[in-house]
Amino acid sequence: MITANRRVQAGVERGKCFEIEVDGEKILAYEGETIAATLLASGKRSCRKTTKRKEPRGIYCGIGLCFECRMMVDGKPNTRVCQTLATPNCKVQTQYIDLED
Amino acid sequence: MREVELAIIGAGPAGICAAIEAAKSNVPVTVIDENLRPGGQIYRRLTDSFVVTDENKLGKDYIRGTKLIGELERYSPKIELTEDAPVWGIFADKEIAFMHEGENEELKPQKLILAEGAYDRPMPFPGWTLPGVFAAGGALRMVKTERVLPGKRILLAGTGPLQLVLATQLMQAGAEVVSVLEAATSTVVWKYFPRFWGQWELLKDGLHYLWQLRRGKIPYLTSHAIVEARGDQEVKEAVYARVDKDGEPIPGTEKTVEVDTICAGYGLIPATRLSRLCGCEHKYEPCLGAWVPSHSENMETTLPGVFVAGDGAGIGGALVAMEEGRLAAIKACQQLGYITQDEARHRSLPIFKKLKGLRRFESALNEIFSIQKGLFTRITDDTIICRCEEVTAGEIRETIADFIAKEEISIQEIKRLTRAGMGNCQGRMCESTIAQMISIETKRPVAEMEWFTPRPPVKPIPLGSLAAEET
Repeated sequence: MITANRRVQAGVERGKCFEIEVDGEKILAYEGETIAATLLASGKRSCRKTTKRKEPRGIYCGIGLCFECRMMVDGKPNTRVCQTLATPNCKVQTQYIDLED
Repeated sequence: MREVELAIIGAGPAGICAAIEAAKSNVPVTVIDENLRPGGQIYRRLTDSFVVTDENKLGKDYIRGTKLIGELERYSPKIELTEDAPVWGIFADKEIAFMHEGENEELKPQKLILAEGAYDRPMPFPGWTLPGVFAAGGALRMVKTERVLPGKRILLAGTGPLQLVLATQLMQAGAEVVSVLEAATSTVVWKYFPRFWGQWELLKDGLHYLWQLRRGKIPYLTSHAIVEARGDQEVKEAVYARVDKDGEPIPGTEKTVEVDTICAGYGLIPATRLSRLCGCEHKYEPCLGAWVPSHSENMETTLPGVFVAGDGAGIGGALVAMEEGRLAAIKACQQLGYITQDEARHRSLPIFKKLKGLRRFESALNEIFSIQKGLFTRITDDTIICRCEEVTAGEIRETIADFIAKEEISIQEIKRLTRAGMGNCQGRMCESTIAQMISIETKRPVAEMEWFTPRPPVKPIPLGSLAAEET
C-alpha cells in the first residue's frame, strides 16, 4: 500500500498525471519526472538487491554515476531510474541479480 | 568522422560560458552534454513538463541558471548544442565518441574544451549503503529540480557550503531537517577572513544560508560527524559524534537520532575521466583530495589544443567555472586564428583579475573544508567500500597488508585482487577512498597513490550500438 506523497508543490505546476507499475503495484507519476522521483514521492526507496550480500540499495548519487538505482524498466535490466523519465504504464521492478544487458 | 573547429564537452557554467565566448568571436562551436537540458548540476533545469510559477522557491542558483541559459539561447544560431549525449571515449588526437538517440557518433575537433564538472565525494561509514542515505548533490537535485523530498526527517552530515544550500532547500520544501553536522571546526574560519575580503557576493550567499538555518532553528553542529547509519531495509537511525581537529570521532560523545534520511556531503571531486583518457598530465591536489589536470593560466592542458574549465579542473564553484570557460575559449579562438593575440590578451586580462579574487576565496573554502584524515577511522572492517562489487574495507585492508610485506603496492593491484573498482560505476565511488586507505595503511603520502586508469567506455553504452558499426 503506497500512501506517501512527498512531492513539493511550492514554485511549480506539474504536467499530466498517469500511473506506473512498481513491483506489481500502481503508483502515480507526473510527466517529466524521473522514475527515481516517482519512487521517492511514494516513499519507496529501495531499488535493487545486491548479488553477494542480498542487501537493499537505493538512490545514492542521484546524477547517474553510482549505478545504485538500477532497476528493471519495461524488462530492461540495469536501468538507472535517476536518469530515466517515467512514462505512462511503464513497468518498474526491483532488480535482484546483476544482469548483463 | 565529422570534423569541427571547436568542441566543448559539458554544458554546465564552464561549458556554457566557453560556448558564448567562442560564439562572440564567430567561431562555430559544438557543445555536447549528457543531460536533457543545459545547466550542469548547479543550474540544472526542471523538465519542460513542469511550469515554474515562482523561481524564488527553487533557490538563488536556479535564477542565476535561468539568466545564463537565456544568454546561451541568444547565441544559439552560432552554437550547435547536442543534449542527451554522454561522451564515452576520447581517442588519439581528440577523437570524441558519444551516444545520441541510441546511435554512436564521432567528432574530431581541432580544439577541445573539457568541462566535466564534479560529483559528491563518496565517504564511507558503516551503513552508508542503506537506502535513505543520499549523496548531498543527489538529494539537492531531487528537491530542487524534481521537486520531491528524499525523506521526511533528515540529517545532513559532511563538510562544506553545499550542506547549507541543501539544508535551506529541504527546509523550505517542508522537510524536517534534524541537524547539520559539519566536520570542520568553527574556530579555523576566522583566520581565513582576509582571503574572503572583497568577495561580498559570495559572503552574502554564505550568510544568507546560515541565517536561513538559524531562522529554521536547525542546529549547525561544527566538529561533528556521522559515524553510523542504522536500519534493516532502510535508514531508521543515525549515530553521530563530536570529532577532534583531525576529524576523528571522540569516543563517548556519540548520540543516536531517529531519522529516515541521511544526506552525506563531503565536498566534491573533480570529474576527470575524460581528461585522464586524453592522457594529459594530472597532479594531486591535497586540499581537494583529488587529482586534477595540470593547466596553463589560459586553461590549456599539457596536450596542445586541449583545455579544461570549471570544477573538472579543480573545485572553484560556478563563478570560477564561468571565468575559466571564457579564458579557455578565448585562447582556443586565438589558436584557431579567429582573433589576434592582442585581442585575446585584451579580453583575458580582466578575467585573470576577477579570477584571482574568486580563487582566493574558493581555495580558502577548500582548505577549511578539506577532508580530515581522522574521518577515515570511521570505516569499520565490514563497511562496504566498493558499492558495485560489494568489497569491504576489511578485504581491502587485508590485501594492502599482504602488499606491505612485499613492499610494492598500487591501486591497480588492489583492484585486480579484490575486484574493487571493477563494477558499473567504474571506480568513481571507491577510488578516492582506496587511495586514502593505502596511504593510511602504508604511511605513504596519498599523492603517491594514483587512481584507477579509466578505460572507454567511461559512460554506459548499449553493446549493440558498437557491434552494428563494426559490421
